[in-house]
Amino acid sequence: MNTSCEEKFDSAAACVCGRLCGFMAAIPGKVKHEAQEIRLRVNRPVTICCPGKTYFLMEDGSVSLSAGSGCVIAWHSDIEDTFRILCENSVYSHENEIRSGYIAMRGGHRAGICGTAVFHGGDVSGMKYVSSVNIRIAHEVPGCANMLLNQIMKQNMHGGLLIAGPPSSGKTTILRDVARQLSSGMRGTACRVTIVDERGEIAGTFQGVPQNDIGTCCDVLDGFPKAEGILTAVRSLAPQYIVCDEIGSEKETKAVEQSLNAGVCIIASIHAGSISELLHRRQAYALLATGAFSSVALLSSSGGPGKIDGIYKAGDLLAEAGRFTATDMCRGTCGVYGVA
Amino acid sequence: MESHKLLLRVEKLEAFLRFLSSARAEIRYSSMPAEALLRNHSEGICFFSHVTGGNSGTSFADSWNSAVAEYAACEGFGKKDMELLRGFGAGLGATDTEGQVAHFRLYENLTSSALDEAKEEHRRKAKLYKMLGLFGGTAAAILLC
Repeated sequence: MNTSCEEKFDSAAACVCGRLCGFMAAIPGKVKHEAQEIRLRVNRPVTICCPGKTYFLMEDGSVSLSAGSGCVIAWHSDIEDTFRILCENSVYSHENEIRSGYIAMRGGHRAGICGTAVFHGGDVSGMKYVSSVNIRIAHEVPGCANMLLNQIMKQNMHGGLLIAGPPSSGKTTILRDVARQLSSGMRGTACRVTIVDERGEIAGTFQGVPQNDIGTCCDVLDGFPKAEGILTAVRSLAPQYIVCDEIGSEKETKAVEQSLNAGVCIIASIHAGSISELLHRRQAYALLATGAFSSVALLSSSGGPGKIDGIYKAGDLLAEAGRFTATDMCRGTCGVYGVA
Repeated sequence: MESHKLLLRVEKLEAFLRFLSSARAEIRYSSMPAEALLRNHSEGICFFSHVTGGNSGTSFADSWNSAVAEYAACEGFGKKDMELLRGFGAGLGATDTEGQVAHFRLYENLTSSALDEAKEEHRRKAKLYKMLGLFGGTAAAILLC
């Protein structure tokens, strides 16, 4: 596990420009193991973000919790070189990603890009003067969906599953593991799974090759907008399950509705810190009302990916939401059918 | 020998023009990264295989320029062509799709002009070089006899 995390760090750090990459090679293994992000900000110290801590990279390759003399500074040229490496010297081939503020990297990592927006016809068409790069190191957690899938199978729940959780509760990590387990036949026979990966976060596809383990019978529609991807999958890939992240727009809800009678189960995630928050969101209510989801799993904000606060039947949530008034909705807790 | 050089220059410029045209289509259709484009066309133009763009300590532009300086001349490109290649490399991959398509079109036009010039030069001088060779050989044979 340690070696694997260090290798992941090294593969992410390899995309940083040569000068800074040299300093990173000497970072202690413990820090590499914990690291979640490598952050470069123009004319400021390079930082390594770990859970609850931010380290500053020092010129001798060590790290410090305080910025002072001896810190490695990311100069403008370093940011420019790193940006070029991240783009593989081909800005045009990452145009859409840059417009959305990130670049997908080899190894399943992602680089968040910060700079000055370029407008064309009133829309953001690109970015210039890149000022910060935030490399998010990919962390797969195989088996993190065990608890969720065990609970669902125990309660004999069939049909679509909506995974709700606050930011950083591991929704994407769980979705990836669900796809992996279903498509590898770890839960009975291998199922045909299609991942609609609009932002490349689930499969981490790089030049057509998924960088994360998503199982053997899994197809990836990489970069497809979710609504179009769902319909494309139904039309041409005959999946048993469609997996997608952060669903909720009107267009997406319509696509989910259209897939409903095509024999496909949708497994998707949505932002919500609690059940009452979920029911307060009009998009979530509309999604549940489509009938595409038979159960809703609420993830815990603490305890790492896979920690479940509760599993609910969609029908009960809809009934509960119907009973709520605007004021008592915030008190709402529905029948919990399984708590991990 | 000189005649062969002229012919080689024509062939290389034709290969480069073919590359520009097909790479432009590949960029528009599949947004294929620059390194992959160069790799796919390195059979026709050998110096492409010496361009490295990864995190090898040198930037893509530096790597392109040194590949042009070290290998392009040996391959058959002329001095003027090397300037053209350097200019092309400076803009390769630096902009969005529209920018790249415009960049490729510009260099297709420039290469096309260079190719016409190379063909004309070959047409004018190849015969002359061959005749000079023939006369030189005959003169040497007469002197030796």
